[in-house]
Amino acid sequence: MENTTYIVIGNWQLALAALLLIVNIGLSAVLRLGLGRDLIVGAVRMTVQLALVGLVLEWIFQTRQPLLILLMAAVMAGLAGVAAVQRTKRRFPGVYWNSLVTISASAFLVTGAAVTGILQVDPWYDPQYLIPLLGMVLGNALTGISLGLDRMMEGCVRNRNWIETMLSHGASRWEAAHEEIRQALRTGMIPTVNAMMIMGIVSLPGMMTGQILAGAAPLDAVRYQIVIMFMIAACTALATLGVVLLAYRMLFSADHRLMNSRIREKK
Amino acid sequence: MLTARNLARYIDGRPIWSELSFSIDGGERVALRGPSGSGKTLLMRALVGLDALDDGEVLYRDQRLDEWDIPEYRRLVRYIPQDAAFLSGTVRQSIEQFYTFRANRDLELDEAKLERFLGILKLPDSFLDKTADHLSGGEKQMVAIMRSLLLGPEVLLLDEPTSNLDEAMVARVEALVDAWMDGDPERRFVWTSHDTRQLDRMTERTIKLDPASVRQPETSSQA
Repeated sequence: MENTTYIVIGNWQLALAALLLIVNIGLSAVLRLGLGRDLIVGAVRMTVQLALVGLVLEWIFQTRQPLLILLMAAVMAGLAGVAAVQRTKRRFPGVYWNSLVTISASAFLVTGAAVTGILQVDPWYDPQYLIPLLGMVLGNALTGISLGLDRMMEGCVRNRNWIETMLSHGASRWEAAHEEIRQALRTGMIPTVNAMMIMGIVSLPGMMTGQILAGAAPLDAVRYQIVIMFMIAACTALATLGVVLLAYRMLFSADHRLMNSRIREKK
Repeated sequence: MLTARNLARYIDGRPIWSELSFSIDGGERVALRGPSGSGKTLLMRALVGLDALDDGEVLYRDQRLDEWDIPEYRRLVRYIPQDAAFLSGTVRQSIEQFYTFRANRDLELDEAKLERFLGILKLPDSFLDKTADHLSGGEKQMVAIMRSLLLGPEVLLLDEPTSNLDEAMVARVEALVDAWMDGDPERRFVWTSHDTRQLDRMTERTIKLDPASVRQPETSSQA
């Protein structure tokens, strides 16, 4: 941190920022918009969660224990895997395992390749690189998984008649499922593809903005942003493909039967 | 020969049918009769492996269902559900889709046969270029039966095939199935209908599903 040129934010500055929100909460109360409660809960949750993460990260950055860093990474992947399923409307047995396995495998593969092969971080577990990269990759893979899973189950329920008609006319389970798999993958990848399309034109990505605020040269920040977007796209594609294929194996049995009875609506 | 041995199906521990055995030979025209809720649809779905069986086995050409390559089996033994389903594209695309499956790889859409079937059903050619949502329920049902017959199955399991049809259409679908039966002595069908006069007219034999005679399984422990 030799070339830190950013302004350190003190407590009273945090309070000033909170004031921005308190004005809005006041407005909501006066106009009886019912927005106040959600805003307060959201703001408090955000502050507490970030403060806790800050403390944990501070500690991990100081100890620099590879095992601790890996443990932190595993916890992050686990939370992302569970959160991905919790956003879906329907469930099937083993869906949590499917999500955990695919998000862990794809995120560790992509992040591992990035820190060892592309950025060549030394040591590879340096938390300054590993943790933020993993976090960004996980956050996006999570969205891909939940959208892909949702679309796959939705498709099997909505198009059941046509899928079973195909099966009845000699389609294998793969042939009958193909269109649903295709649509699920497409749906899971839409946010990532859209983000790449408009990046830099409509939105300045958060990580790049952060690096620039922290004093990095814009062109260096751009290079990081490009690398992270490739990582995100690769990981999201891998995770979505993995989870959709595992769902396919669960929803289409080996004897070419659609197993919609395994799908449960979320209560 | 399509043979069912000791078939049983339970739902929530309650038997829908059990100890059900029958066989159907080439050339036979069979009615599947039973009151609503007696599991006629479940039986047809089980015969093509779309639903699981809780007991018993299904054999075709002396080979058990689990020994068959299921897509190959379903090419020969064809279940046609009551609700016809289509792709979002044109009727012709829905028909052509079936010829892309590996199990049907040696088949080609036979335009002359298609022409003949459309003639029997008295449907105009322009029909094929419509999208399915422009068809009436009856038209969908007719097209669904026609596209199945084009693929040349040996056994047809027809679940209420004329439930959405008016009287004139019913006669045409019956004529179409008759024409298909005349094509090969190996062919046979099972037909369900609420119209008992239709069953008397179209079939020669009955398989009866009688809920009153279904016995509780000996192993079941009732709470």
